[in-house]
Amino acid sequence: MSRRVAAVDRISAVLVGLALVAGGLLAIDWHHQIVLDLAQTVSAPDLPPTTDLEWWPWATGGAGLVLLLLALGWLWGHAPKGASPVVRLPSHQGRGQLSADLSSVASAAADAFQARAPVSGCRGAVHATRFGRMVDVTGHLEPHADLATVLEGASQTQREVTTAFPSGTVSCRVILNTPRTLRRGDRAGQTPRVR
Amino acid sequence: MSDATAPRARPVVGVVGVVLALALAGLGVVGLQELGVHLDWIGDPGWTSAAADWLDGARAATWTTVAAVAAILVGLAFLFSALKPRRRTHLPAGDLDTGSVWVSPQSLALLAKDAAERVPTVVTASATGTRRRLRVEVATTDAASAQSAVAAAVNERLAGVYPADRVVVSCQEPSQ
Repeated sequence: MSRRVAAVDRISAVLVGLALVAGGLLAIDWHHQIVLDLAQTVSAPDLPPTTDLEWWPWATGGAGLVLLLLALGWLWGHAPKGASPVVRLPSHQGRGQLSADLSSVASAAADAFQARAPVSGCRGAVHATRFGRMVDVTGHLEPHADLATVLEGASQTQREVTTAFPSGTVSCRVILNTPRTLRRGDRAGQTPRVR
Repeated sequence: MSDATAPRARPVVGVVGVVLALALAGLGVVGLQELGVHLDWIGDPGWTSAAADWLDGARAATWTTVAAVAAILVGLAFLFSALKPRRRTHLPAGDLDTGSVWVSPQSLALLAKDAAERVPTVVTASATGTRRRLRVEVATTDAASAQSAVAAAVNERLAGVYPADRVVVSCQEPSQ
């Protein structure tokens, strides 16, 4: 989900939330006559004839189509999408164009990290950040892992990635999770030491 | 280490966004239905026309209050979700110039359990971890010595990643 979609979500939630609260309070007051002296019956005699006019279905149809397209675009914005894995590299001679596929870099970094640290199931992915692209290496920490070894392996992997892109637009982040057999909510343990 | 690279949970407001997008799509279908009726593609009466007929002359009743309370609750939930910041899911590990390393508290609990199990008097161990607190529970044959030994073992294992003062160790001697 992009920052723009997240901002749209947040602003819409605030506006609709405020409208629902205000509408709810107004409806309670309408029924119980606490603050405002609203009529107990809605009077809108011009409304039903308006819906019989020739332009009404075309107006609602056009507005409906626009709303539907907006909604589909909004939903599409929530679909998980990675950043474009291709980055352009600076050309020293000013001729031609060099580009690199970051997804293969991420995959290679994940393999390299798994080979040098007590982790399993390492995967690489590419994300867009405010400062450029970020190679994410995600792995599962082994229960017997020595943190110093893991951090050294991560440091080495990150150095390799950032050295490959000296312009500084590509960074590397290592994320360590629990093995799949011990997800959140499970207690890490209660296994007898000696069976 | 940049805070901007901290892994975070999916925003709660994203769910609200999807709900609102679906509601918007529903409104769009309502508008198109009216046009469909006008073009004789659909036989039923138009929904907006029916809504206009119902609205003229609608009276406040008990259902109004029920619906209003529901609307207020949903509205407050929307506002709460919009203002709630994305939860951090991992702890920073190490201090690297070239990038950042993040470890989930559950992974650290796994390491803590492993460290506790290596203490000689410990029979069984379990651990649970959050970003604020890591609890280690052990069954031991000697609770008096195991308390400090387990704490030392866990803190040594998690040195530099998890603050020692947030590790809570509780020992129990199995009943005979």
